Amino acid sequence: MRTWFLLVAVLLGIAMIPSCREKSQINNRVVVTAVGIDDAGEGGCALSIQALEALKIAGSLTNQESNATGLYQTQGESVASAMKSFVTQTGRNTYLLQNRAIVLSLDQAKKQPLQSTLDYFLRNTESRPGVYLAISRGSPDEVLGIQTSSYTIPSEYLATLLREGQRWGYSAGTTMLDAERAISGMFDAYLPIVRVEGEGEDAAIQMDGTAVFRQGVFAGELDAKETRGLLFIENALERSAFTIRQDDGSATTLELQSSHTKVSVDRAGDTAAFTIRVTAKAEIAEEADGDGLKDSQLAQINDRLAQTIEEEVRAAVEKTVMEYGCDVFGFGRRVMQKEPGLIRGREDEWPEKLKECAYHIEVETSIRSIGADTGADPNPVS
Amino acid sequence: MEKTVKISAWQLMSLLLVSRVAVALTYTGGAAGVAHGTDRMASLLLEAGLLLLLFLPTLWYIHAAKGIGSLEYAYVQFGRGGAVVAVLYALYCLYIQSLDLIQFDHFASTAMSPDIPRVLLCIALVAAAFVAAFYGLEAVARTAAVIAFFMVLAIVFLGLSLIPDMKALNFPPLLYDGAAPVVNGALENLPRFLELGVIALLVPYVKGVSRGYSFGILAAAGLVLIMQVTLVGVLGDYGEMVTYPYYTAVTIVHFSMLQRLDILVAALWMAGIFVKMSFLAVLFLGCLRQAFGDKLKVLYVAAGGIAVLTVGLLFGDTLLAAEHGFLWLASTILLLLFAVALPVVLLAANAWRVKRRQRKGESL
Repeated sequence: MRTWFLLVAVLLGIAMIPSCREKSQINNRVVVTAVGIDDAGEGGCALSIQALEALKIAGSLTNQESNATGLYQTQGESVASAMKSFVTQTGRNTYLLQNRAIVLSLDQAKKQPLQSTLDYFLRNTESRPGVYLAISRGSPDEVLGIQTSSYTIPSEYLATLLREGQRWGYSAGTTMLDAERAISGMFDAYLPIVRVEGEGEDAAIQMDGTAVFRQGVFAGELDAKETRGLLFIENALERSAFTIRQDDGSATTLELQSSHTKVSVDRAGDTAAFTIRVTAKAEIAEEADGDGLKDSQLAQINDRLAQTIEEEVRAAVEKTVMEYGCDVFGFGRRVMQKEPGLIRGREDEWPEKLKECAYHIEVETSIRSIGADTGADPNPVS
Repeated sequence: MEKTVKISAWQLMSLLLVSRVAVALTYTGGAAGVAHGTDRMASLLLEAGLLLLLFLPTLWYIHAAKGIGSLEYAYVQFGRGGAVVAVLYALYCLYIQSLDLIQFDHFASTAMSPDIPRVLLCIALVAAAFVAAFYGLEAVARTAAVIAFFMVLAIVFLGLSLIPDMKALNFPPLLYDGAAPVVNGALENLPRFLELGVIALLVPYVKGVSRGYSFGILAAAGLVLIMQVTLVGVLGDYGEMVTYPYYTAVTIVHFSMLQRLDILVAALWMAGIFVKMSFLAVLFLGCLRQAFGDKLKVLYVAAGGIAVLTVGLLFGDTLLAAEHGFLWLASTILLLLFAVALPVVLLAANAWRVKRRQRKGESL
């Protein structure tokens, strides 16, 4: 009897193995690698779907095409209906598990709250929290349709650009997980803005600031310096380059080696005082005067670097909190953690109350070395 | 269930640990849950304390019964009426299995893949679990020990892999809304550990029931706490907005070239649910064999499996909708009946029987 039971269990198991059950061919599925969402006016939204063409990656690596993806356009009243109409148009099912990026047009970001636009991906079991999010200044198909010889799958190029952009302080690398956290109300969301420069084979994706949201609604943009200030506060910066001008007008470029930011909260009457303490280490990467740099000048360069960082951090706080009324840094959440009595029962008032709070910015920088050059004077020519 | 079979306290601990973690992997706190984030961590510790307190009547029974299981004890007290207790225990086991199947069905079809052949999967699970009942408690306990080892390893590994994705900002302050969510959260979780109701049944088959149970509770609390820290650290308040927060959190795990390690959770969870259902199937079969003999054991197993499948598949959605209402109440009442009332009733019946015989001058 046990044998019969085991036999039935094994047969049932075999029946459930997808490869035994699934009859569809690989080229009947559209393996989505990136999705673009654009505003289609009254018609809802237009989708650009960058998808892997299974037949283009067949065979040996040398036989594969340089771009293994195709770009499809579809439209619908919502993202879900556009996806479904794509399936009915092509007769192929979408497969989202390999999706690397979602690009929204600036118009779409302004038209609809972030949560509504991303809802389809938040609910879909195939969608992953590691997917990169970005806003395109033009149409998303320009970004998704870009050709690159470095990557067979262009969305890899976009994902790498966004990831490295954050490491180097050029863009805010936001993933679906960050958006999900923001949607839960812990803090406000921010997304990197990209644009395409050049045409045809010369076209390239450029970072173009950061879009910030207030409760999912587009609030405004940050420029490159404010974006770097944002990354400092978020502790998301790994490396960055700063060009400092000295009193004599000579320029020195410093490369940030490490940085750490600590935000502390103190009660200040009915509001809070935040202290943003940035500690950064840098080293000299290049100086315009060749061998002119001396150890004695390091103190001045160091002060200038600290001043630059402070200005960028202050600009990021002033723009996001004071101007746009956004809490992208989770200041409200920090008050909730450290001074819950200040915020309890008045949670709704706090986004506005943040404008009344004090923000002290302290920057401590150190220049580790001046590189391989000792700075010693060259020998006089005899 | 053979009386000669004995499992160790550590094997019992493994059985309880695997059962509890399998339930926690598919915890559907969501909007209906009362304790979230950091509060839920505190409620898990309180829950462990309450489960140890609820064990006191069983502990009292264990000391008084001197190695006799509650079923045999019931036969001693009530004669053939003990069969009623056996049937009640069997139904209790089926009830727990049905709840597990409902959760299994829902998780497989919503979180993993909507295209999954859920009916076939449920049939396979139930069939495997009930067939395992023929192999006995020792075999199931040995399997549980192996799975518990991998479960601990995997949960610690997943937690460590997710440290770079965790943020201090994601942890809400403890007791922000007072102590009520912590207490309510512990009470909400209590009937997720219905196995407590069958511990008295296991007395003759386990070397060190009390030790196995206590360590099982503490180990499960520790492991579930690690899971909670992981999911809150990664998801923050978003954990309250998704149906299966732990699974959602581990979907982002990547370690070196290994990616999409959520499959690890799915595998552990299936193994855990299988062990739990097999354990209860062993007890179910043991109870019916004691009540009605050995001849129809295949029929008992088939009927049990069909009953669990019927409830799980036909009424699953309805029951799941009542998870935090009617189902919680029913489970709590059953837990109290089997873990508290039954041992007390058995000991009271014994005391009354002894007193009556003493009065009559009969020998005991």
